[in-house]
Formats: sequence, C-alpha cells, structure tokens
Amino acid sequence: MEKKNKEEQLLKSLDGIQKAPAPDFFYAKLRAKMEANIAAEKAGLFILRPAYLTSLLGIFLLVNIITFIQLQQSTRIKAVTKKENVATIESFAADYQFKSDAVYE
Amino acid sequence: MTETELIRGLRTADEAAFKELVNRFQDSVYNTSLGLIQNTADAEDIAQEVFIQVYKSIHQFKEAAQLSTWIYRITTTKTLDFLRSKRRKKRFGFIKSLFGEDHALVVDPEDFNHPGILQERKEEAAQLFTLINQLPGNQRAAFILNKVEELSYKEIAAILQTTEASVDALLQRAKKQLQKKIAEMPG
Repeated sequence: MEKKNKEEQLLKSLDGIQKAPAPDFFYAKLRAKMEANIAAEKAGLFILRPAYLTSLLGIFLLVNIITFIQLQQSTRIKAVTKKENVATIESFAADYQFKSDAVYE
Repeated sequence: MTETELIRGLRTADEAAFKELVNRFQDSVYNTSLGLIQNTADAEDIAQEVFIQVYKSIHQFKEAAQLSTWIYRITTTKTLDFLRSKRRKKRFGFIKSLFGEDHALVVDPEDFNHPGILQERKEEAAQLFTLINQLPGNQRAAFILNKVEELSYKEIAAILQTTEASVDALLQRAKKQLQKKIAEMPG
C-alpha cells in the first residue's frame, strides 16, 4: 500500500510543472556563438581559396623539380667517380707494370 | 508577425525575423532540452545549436508542417544525439579507467531539480527525473514532451514522425517501466 502511494506520488510529481525559461541574455549569447562559428568557417575556407591552392601546388611542384634535379646530379657524380676510380687503378697498374702473369715471370 | 511572414523573413536572412523566432521559441526549446538532458549548461548549448540549425536549414523547411513541430523535432533529435554521444564517451571513459589511465569516470549529477517544479514536490520530481534518465530515447522524448511540455498525442506524433497510437504505446511502456523501477527502489 505504501509502495503504491509512493509510486503515485512520484508519477504525479511532474503535474503542474512550469516551463523553465531560457537563461538570461540567451539571444545575445546565441548571436555571439553564431558570429564565432562564421569566423571559424571563414578561417577554414581560407585553405580552399584558389590563390592558396595554386601557391600550395606551386610549392609542391618546385620541391619535386629540385629533388629530381638533385637526384640526377648525384647519379651523374656517382658515375663519374666510378669511372675515375677504374682509370686510377688501371694507370696505377700500368705505372708499376702489374700484370696478372707478371708473378710467374 | 505571422508564421508565414516569419518564415519568409528567415529565408531572406532578416535579423528581426530571427530575433522574433528566438523570442517565440527559446523557452520551449530550452525546456524540452532541459527535461531530456537534465543539465542546465548542456540544455542551453543544445538550444543554441537548435536555433543555428534552424537558421541554416530554413530553406529545407516544408510549410506543410508547423514551424513549432519542426523546431521541436530538431530539438529532440539534437538532444537525443547528444545523450547518445555522452553515453559513448562515458563507456569509453570506463574502459580507459579499467586500463589504469588516470581518467575519472564521467558521472551524472546525482539529483536534477527542474526550476518549474512546485516546491513541495521537488524531492519526488528529482527521483522521477533520475528514473526518466534510464528510459530508452523515444520513450523518454514522448514522456518529456507530454509531461513537461504538455503537448498532445497528435503534436508528439508529428514531432516524432509517428502515429498517435504509437505515441500512446510509447507512453504506456514508459509508465510501466517507471512503475517497475519505482517498485525496485529501496525503502
């Protein structure tokens, strides 16, 4: 019986409830939030501007071209050094008359 | 300003129309959100988000429905989405705490006192709100719209995009669940 009373009391506790009014300065705070959102969106959209995108693409291409040129140069230098090394060994052998069969003479 | 004028004004981004809309609906939006969320700061945040959404998507509003219905629908959807994400965070926080990270569990405030409750019923209402918190989303929305916003079954059906019979069933189920939970309460 007591339980039943409690149940009824609890379920009826919302009867006659008044609307909770929105907090003070709700509109002013809402406006401020909207303006902040717009500013944030504008900042986010900056990255999509054609000038910004073109500059980014330009930098990307430039970095690629520089890397390609440097890579080619280093390959050429390596080839020249290899050739020079072979030439040095051959001239050294010629100077001292090193021959593979010289040992048995 | 009539509703048609208000909508027209909103579609042309007229600030006076937007201000009028906020003045007209701010209490209903805040009160609904507060009833569902039971936290004043979160309810204010959601209410602001609702008006921003209305401002952004007024062009999608079909005038076959009432503006108030549409605004209530945005409010309930946003609030229930917020509650779902809060629950997810809570679960994630629990898992993190299990693995020994130094994160406190997200705990709901113990008692919520709705400012519109009569003084002599505050204690019972706080207990009831705790139980309402445990209801599934749709039952909870129907219950709050009916008991706190005092909307008719027809209005709730339009907001939740269902039939009056379904609203009735939702409310019956909510009441049964609450009765069961009250019976399980100690004391």
